[in-house]
Amino acid sequence: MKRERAGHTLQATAVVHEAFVRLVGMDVPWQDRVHFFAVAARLMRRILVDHAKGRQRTKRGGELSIVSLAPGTEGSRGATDAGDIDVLEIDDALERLSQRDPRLAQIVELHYFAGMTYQETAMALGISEATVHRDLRMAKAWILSQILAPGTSA
Amino acid sequence: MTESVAAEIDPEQAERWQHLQRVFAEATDLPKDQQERFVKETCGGDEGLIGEVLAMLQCDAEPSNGPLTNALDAAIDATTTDRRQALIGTVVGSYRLVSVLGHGGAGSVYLAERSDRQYSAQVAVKIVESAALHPDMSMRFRAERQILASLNHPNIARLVDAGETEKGLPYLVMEYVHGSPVDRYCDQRQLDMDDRLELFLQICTAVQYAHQNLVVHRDLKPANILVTEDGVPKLLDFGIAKLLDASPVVTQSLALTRMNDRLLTPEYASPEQILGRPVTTSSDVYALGVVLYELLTGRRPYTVTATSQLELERSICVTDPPRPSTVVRRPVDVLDSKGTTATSLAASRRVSPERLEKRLVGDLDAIVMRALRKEAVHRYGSVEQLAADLRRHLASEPVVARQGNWAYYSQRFVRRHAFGVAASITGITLLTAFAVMTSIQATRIANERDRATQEGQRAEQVSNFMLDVFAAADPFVNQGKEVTARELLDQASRRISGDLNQQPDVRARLLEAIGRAYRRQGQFDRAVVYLEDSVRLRRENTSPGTSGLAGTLTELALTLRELGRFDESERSFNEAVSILSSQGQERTAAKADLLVGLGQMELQRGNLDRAQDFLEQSAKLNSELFGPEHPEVATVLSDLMSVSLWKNDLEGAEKLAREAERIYRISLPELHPDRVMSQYLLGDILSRRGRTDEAGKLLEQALGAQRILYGDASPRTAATMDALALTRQAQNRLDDAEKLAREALVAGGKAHGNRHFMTGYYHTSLAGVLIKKRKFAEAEKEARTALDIYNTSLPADHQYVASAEHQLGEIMLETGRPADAEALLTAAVNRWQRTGAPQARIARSASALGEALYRLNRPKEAEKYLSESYQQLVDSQGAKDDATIVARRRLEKFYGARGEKEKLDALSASTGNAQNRR
Repeated sequence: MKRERAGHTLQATAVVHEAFVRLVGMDVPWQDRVHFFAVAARLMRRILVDHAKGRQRTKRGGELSIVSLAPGTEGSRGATDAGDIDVLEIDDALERLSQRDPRLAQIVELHYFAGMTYQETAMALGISEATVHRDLRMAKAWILSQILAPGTSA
Repeated sequence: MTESVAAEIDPEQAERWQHLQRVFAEATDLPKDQQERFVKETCGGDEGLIGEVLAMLQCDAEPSNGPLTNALDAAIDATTTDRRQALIGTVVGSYRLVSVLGHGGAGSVYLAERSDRQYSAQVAVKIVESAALHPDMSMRFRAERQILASLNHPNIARLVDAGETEKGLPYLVMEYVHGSPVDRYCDQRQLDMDDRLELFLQICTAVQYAHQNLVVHRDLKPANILVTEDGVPKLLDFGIAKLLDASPVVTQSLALTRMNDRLLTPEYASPEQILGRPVTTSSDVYALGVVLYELLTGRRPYTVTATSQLELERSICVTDPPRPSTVVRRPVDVLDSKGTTATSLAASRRVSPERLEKRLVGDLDAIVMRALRKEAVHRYGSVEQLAADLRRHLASEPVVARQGNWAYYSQRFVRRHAFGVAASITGITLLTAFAVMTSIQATRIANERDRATQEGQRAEQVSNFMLDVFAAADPFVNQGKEVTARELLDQASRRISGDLNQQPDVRARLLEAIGRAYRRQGQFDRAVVYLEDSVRLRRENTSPGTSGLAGTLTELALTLRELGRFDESERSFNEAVSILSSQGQERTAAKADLLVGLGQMELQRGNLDRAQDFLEQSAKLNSELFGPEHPEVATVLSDLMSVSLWKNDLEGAEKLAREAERIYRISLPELHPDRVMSQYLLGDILSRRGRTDEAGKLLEQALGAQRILYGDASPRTAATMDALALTRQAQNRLDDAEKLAREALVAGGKAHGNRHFMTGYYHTSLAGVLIKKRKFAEAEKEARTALDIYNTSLPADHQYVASAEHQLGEIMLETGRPADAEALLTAAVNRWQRTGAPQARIARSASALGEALYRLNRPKEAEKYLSESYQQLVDSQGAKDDATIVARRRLEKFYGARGEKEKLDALSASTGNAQNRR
């Protein structure tokens, strides 16, 4: 059975709450849905990245990756062997994507970091759901290829 | 961020990127083994590009989100876990956190013990991570926890203590319950159906106890219902959800609301919770229904097989769940990881799937479905009633859920549909807080209006509770056991004042809340009794000029207005106004609301200029207070629009309606009642301006939304049905028009009562369609009913009356009774004039009167009315207006019959447009 899953399981975790606390604390006049979600996504991304960086600092020399689900793959991972991607790598790749195609990067942020579904992303951006599907497939493949096979990008 | 980067992309890069996207997209449409060749051919030797696309294709694992999602989930978990672990060993209040018990809802739960080791009791400490969402949270928190701490029931986990951590996060210390969630407990012990029901009944007892203490759980689900080793159920987190309630007032954007909603698991949430409407004891009845469904069948009524949470929420609000008996033999959802099957589910209930189905068919199906009804009014009126029905089932007595008297009972309370609607229609947000439970001083809330609304909602919850109590007194439910509302009120009042250090105005507030509850049910006569009592008490017990009195007076004024007792209503409004003045509250939201109340009253009374004056004052004040694009402003603009409509200034009305619709569209969520209302209003006007296609679309949209929001029997739904009926009539879709007009009449009757003037209006509306269809006998009946209703519900000089007289006069003309027509139309013309109606309305009736006089063979008078009214209609409506054409035809016929050839020619020449003649 196929069912779409939002970027991450948006359960009531402390992180999501933290994002909200910051969001609500911000005195920003929200222009529209996209604006709000864009900021929410950015905040989520920032919190996760900051935490990952902090952890890297405190455990320097120890376990470097956030989650090592596939031990022994360090430096030799193949295209489908993506178990130990961490959020910092995603962050980097996403940053590079946004330099090439800011719109695509925004869709990725909305979907993966703000947890918007395809349908909601489509509605928020005023594009078709099919376009969201296509764009995300493309973006995901690009980001993964950046992380797993660096150097292919010209 | 992205915006600044966007400007720097160089054109060559951009083109290359475009190319890459295109090649990738086209390649993914091909079979795997052809992709590489395709890419190499298409990229024309650009090795870099070929490599990049091929790497992407390798990573293209459609359609799962896979690695990225996993990585992000892991990052979230890591972040969350670290933050929680960091708290272990710290001291919160006088408790040292020992380990993490779990998390969910709005925070994490820790096992803790007393740090001073005075005694070794273990407790559960819940730290509320989402607390900072609400600046006023800690205050509500302190107030509420006292109530929660007073809950003392063997099946409710006690609240031991509460406070704030050093970081300002609220925490709750609760009795530590060692047990399993009720669903797991039942399955592990393989409890049979009767045992499950017995256990469930114990749970009901606890919820009922809480309701009697004015506490609604709001988040009942198996995870919050633990069963100990000894088989004792314990309910956790009672009333906690309310403490944490995400956004009682949507001052933030729609997106925030949506995101917030997504923090909650909606599977146990009632439709009203999903729609953000007031939560009542009935919401707990609903949640208990879901729990019961699950305990009996092993399934949930709605599951996340829907493609998105949005979808799930929609189905909770719109679709009926499958009856329990129909699901137990179905294959279990493949998402279930524990290998559960229909057989194993039944086996854990010690029966076969077939037997299980048989057991559920009938009573249990009916009981569960009753609890799961979309509208609270159609559910059991209280947890006690749900439990009583289950006991009847266990005792093999006939259950109420399957009996006809439910239909009766539901009908009686069907007006509760109107609940929540009236609030925004009449803008009563300024009403005094009904702080029976607490005496909150919400000093930290920046916006005064928000406070009023929040407290208004609290009031609503309490008054809902009271209504549930009254429902229990209904003789059809509690056979023979007569309890009067007054007795219940006195009991409640004694209990509350005893509990709460005897606030002097508690009783007055209680009376007011009950009055308001009745008003919102549409029981205006009963409402007046309580509100007048409350006003009297306030006058006796509080110093004159407290805002409490002003609020109660406003409530009373609104009720009197609904009853058409305009003079008394005006007196109450004015007294409230002068109280505000004496308190220096001339420029407050409360004042702006009062002006609206007065304006609407003058409008109903037919004093258009006064209405406009009040409303314009209010619009100006609101705009100054909140800014020009605030929903409050739009609300008043909508009222002003009604005035323009009555003045027949359609152009002005359209302008106002468009502006109101625009403001709402940018400031409110899609399903917000006010936004939907503005669609209706704009649609209505466009329809009247002949833009029937655009109007039809808007109205259909509004009607669809209203049916979801309120059901059929609500004032707003009725109004939209009526407007759509008129649109269909203009489009000459007369059968559709008649059907809609009849629906509107039924809906209006249920929403307002059969003798309310609005119901009268829907009779005239139906009569209009019937006239068009030339069903004069039926039309006459409707028009006469309308006049009869107006006779007792409106002042004599009201434009509605004139309108009905005109209609009936036209029917008399069509059915060959000119003498009756003359009497009715003369009355109509005079009444229009006395009420300052627009020229066109007067002229329309005058033209019909001319026709009547002609048929009565009084040509001199006839000519005067016919020619003057025609000229007025040409002047005010133009030659092509329907009414003008009718008047012209009458005049032509008259001249023709009288042989006045000259005048006839002059008439043709006057417009040069004779095509309209038949």
